Amino acid sequence: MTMPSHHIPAETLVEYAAGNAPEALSLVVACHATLCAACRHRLRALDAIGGALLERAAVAPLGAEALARAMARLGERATEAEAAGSDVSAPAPIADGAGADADALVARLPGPLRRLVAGAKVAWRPVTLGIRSYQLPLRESSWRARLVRFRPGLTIAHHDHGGDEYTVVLTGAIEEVGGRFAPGDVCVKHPGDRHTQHIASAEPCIALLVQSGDLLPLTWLGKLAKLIARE
Amino acid sequence: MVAGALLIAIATSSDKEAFAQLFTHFAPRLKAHFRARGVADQQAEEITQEVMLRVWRRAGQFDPRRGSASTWIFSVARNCYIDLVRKERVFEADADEPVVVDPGAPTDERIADGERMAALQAALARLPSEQGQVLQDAYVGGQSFPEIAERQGLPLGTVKTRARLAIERLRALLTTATRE
Repeated sequence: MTMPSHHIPAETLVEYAAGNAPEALSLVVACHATLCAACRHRLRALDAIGGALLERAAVAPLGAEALARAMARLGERATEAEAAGSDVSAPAPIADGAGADADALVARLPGPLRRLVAGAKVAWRPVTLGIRSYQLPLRESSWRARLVRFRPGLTIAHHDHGGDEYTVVLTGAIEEVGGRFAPGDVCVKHPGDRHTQHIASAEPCIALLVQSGDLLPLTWLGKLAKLIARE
Repeated sequence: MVAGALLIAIATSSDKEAFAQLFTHFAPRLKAHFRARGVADQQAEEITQEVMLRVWRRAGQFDPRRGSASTWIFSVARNCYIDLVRKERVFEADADEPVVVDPGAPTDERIADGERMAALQAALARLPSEQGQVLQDAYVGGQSFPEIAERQGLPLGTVKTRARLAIERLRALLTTATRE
């Protein structure tokens, strides 16, 4: 696999590093950075800004017994929740309604996604012709986060965006005027950005799709597709 | 002892004296950090305890080649905040997925170099005030760019541009500092 050529915008990396990115965007950043050494380096540099500002920060006095309390707890074991957070156990197979490539798919998901779906009962649901999706189990719901599977050769009719949209390609490829998006690449759209997309790979395209608003179709066919879509 | 050496002492020999020294230095800063993010006094104290316990347990994950001790502790604190205050999942990149050829250290790497923390401090101090303020509001105040834009009555695009320019300026300042 080659290095991704479409990256996370710098300001989104800053939001992530500062701990202010919405949960779904953090997933996008972590997945792209897992596949992109350049963005991992950028994130490290942005973490260093946090370190420098922490070093320079004001100090707030702690309770008199704070150090003694901490020292007394050093022997404690990590809580279950904390241990689960760093869980890197093998992923459970995805029940892929479309075929027998489920195990292969899970193995190809970047680590942050693999750990998120591990143990979950994952099933693709048909959305509309040629598109299936799986809603990812996030805790914060102002953004939607889904794995989406597009049929090879599919065209996604001309549309606008009701909110911000981040697409991380995981398998296959998406083409639009001005760009080809291969595994690891991120496509970022904001309200007012309009495009037509084409699935340009022989294999199905699976992508992480994260949106803060609805897709706004601009063609009658697209409007019809949205009308009959089961979301 | 400098903080990085204290972390290594904890990782290699469970050195409690090293932990006490780290706690004395970082805990009051962490508490101030959480207070600045709007966390109430008592909870800020509790989360600071939790961060320091995670620092104790995970000291073995600290890698001085990847950044300074304060950078690593900042990332532990950030993840604690997301986990315990926002109650959301923490997503982190896998550093070692062998799917991509590492192109070598790009220019940004020099910002992460622990030994250059002093240069980074100096560069931060030299940022134009509105750029430094955006970083301060984001990293310390815990405000997202839409929140900063709303509070200051600025277009969101302006806030994003300031953040981007701040990062570019830091990179330029550190490149100059490295050449000098």
